Amino acid sequence: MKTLILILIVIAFIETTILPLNLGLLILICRSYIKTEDKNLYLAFGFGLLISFLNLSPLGLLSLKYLGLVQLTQMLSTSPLAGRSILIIPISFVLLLFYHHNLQVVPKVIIESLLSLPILYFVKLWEERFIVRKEIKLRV
Amino acid sequence: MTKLLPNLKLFIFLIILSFLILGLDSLQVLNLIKKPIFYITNPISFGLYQTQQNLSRQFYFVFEARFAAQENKALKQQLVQLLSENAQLRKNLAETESLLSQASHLDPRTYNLLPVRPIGLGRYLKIDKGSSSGVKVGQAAVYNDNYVGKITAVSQNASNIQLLTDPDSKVAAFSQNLEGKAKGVLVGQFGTEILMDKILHEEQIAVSDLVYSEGTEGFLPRGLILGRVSQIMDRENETFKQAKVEPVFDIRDLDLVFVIVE
Repeated sequence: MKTLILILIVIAFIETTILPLNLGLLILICRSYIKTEDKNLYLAFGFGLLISFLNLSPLGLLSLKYLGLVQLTQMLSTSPLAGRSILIIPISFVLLLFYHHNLQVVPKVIIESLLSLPILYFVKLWEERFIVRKEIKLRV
Repeated sequence: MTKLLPNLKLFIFLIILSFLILGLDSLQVLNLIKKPIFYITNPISFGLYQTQQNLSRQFYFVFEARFAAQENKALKQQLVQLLSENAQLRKNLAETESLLSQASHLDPRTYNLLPVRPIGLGRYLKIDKGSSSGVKVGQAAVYNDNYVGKITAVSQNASNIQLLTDPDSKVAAFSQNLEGKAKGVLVGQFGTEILMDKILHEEQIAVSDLVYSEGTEGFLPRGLILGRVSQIMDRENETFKQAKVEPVFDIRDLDLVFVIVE
């Protein structure tokens, strides 16, 4: 979790200074798509605050958007089709269109939604291989 | 409901919190907290931005260097082409000047002159025109008022000119100065020397006198310059005087010579 927070902070700085792509939001969407847990909402709230602060936007505005998108993704992830990884592309495309609510940025949204698939695989790999889980206690 | 909207309570709480922060920020209450945080975030953002700028400058330089290398290559090719074109134009200019100069020396109405280019120089001067252009053995080659040599071999598209310095060359000649003139025969020597032989002792000849063609051979007009006297060899015990003659021009400097076709 700490690593993820650190990565999100670094990405927040990168996307507000040199790379105008919503990579942090994509990571949050992908994580919510894989895993439904309360940490996603905390991350969305915190990351939204950080991005608002770095972008000099009104604080809390992006948190609202991110919370909405993450919650929407978590809802979609419970559907029977959610097991397919490829579906992250149309889902992220629609969610990012909601986020931008501007048709002029469609090319950018396309690029971001295409990026969502490798990000999803990366997050999946990270969550499955590098996250230490609690020991399973067997009842004897 | 919990399955449809997971973590609903937390979601609502965070939404309310976000609205609260939004409200406080719009009232500029949070400025006090934001100000010290900017002291931390601004240098990081600036550092990242500067790094990106430096990197993009480096990449731009690499790209530009590559483009410049390609451009340099293209320009070099263009330069070679232009130099070649320039050389061709200079050659054409020199040939045109030679033609004009020749026309002012030997009247084209009297002599039918064929301009030819020297293409090789050994014992003979090789030219780029042959029998297909009307060149025949025995014709004279001239340059302005100067005699160059005689055609000795002709092929379809090339010919050989026997120069005055050739040992087989013999031309009736005379030298002229203010005191008089001297007649003789110009014989080629090996190398670049020409010897004027059979000059009577009583005839006047001096160093730096010009030597002209006599024109008795038939193929050669009278009065063409053959060379300049460089040395007189006058021995009492010999029947004739001799004089060394040197050409007035270097055959290698010629861009164009003219064959008297008729």
